[in-house]
Amino acid sequence: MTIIGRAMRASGVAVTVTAILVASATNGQASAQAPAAAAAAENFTLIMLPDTQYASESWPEVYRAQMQWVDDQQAARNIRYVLHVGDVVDNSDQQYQWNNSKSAMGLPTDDVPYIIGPGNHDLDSTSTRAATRYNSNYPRSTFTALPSFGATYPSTANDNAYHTFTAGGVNWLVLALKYQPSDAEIAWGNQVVSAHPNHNVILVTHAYQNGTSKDSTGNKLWTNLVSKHANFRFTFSGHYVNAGVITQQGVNGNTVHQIQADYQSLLSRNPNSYLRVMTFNPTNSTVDFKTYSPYLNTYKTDPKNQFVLNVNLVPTS
Amino acid sequence: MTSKPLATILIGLSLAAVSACGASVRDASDAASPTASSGLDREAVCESVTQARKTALDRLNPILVVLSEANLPARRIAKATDDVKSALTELHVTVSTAINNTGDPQLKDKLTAYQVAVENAIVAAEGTDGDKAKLVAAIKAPEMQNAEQTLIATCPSRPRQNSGMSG
Repeated sequence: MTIIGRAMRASGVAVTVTAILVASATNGQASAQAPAAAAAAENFTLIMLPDTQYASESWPEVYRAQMQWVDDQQAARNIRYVLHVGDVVDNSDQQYQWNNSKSAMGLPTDDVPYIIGPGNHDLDSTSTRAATRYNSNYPRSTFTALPSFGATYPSTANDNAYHTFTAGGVNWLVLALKYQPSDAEIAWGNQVVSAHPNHNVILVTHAYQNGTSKDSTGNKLWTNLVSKHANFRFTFSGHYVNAGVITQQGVNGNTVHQIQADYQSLLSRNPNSYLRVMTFNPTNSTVDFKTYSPYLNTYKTDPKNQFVLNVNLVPTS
Repeated sequence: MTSKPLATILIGLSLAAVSACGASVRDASDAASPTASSGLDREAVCESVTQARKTALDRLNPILVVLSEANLPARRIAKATDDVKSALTELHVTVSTAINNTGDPQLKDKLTAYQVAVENAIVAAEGTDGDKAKLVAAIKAPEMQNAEQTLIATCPSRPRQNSGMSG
């Protein structure tokens, strides 16, 4: 597949998407006719980190194992970003939990950069939605040195943020919105996405869907943000102990994969140790999803947790 | 309680959703391709939610009995919290699916209010941190019970609908 081929598909309205159960490995072979394009469209990996609240509270060793694995695998898998879908901690007033999380995450400028969509447990209060403690522990200033740093909303705090980077020969924009974003926060998100029409957009937010059904926030975000932009490709969320994919076309005909996973358990350590490994193959226009526990060195291989999605990437202009 | 009836309902609704929108997008995994649908009839949607609520109550009522015990160890409260979250999460899936499956605006409004109430109850249960009283309050949240009653009033009158929704 050439870059031109992807561009044609990306601009087409009649996009057909199929999801394939992983029964065999993906067959990504670079096109011999387009070595330059193939070089630009290298495979790369994003990591989705579901709710870490109980790991921060009770089992920091599994959280450290997750992030140590990311560092160890960075070069081999070309890991470009970690997307934390929120609920970093269980109790935002317990500093030791923030410390455990920071011990595992390190600084975003250390190795693999990361972005966080703060969850309900990360907030001072779900009624006020204040994020003072989150901002004390993951302040905006910690992220501004990243080459990928875009901006935050509000401009002085890290409640909502966007980062941009290039991977697989195309541009990416990750928009991280705080739990149950307000109308003003969604309006900001719309401005950010509209200003980056040549970026493939990923939304990271804590609560959006419960398995294969959107929650009230997901319905609001789909209608008022995600479905409106031709360059949206993915949403990632957690919050509900479940896993699922919703695939829909936005008003411009683009296909958006909305992906949710959360393995949290209050009762036992091991379920909390899983993360999502998402390997993008731009040549084949596929993304391979695997669910892996670095702590246990175990994969979840059921269809909810191991699958392949097709994606038509927005080409770099 | 058994989760089989609920699973059957969910599978049925998923199939109906795919059929209604006419799009063959997804696979045999737990995936969905919802679009605005003309909707199942009001009775079918109400029946699915009523059955799901009954299933949830069948799971929640024994937990309330456990929580009434004195000197309950922290481990059992943690187990009860997980069980409450699980029951409400399953209920939430059905209610959320029902919203997609109805074309009736009035019913959709009532289902959405119920969906939000269940979401709030899940967050409340998650935030109880071993406090039995808070967990009981999450299960018996007035907001959720009020939303249920409003939904029942919108649904076609059937005796067994009322029997399972009185939290």
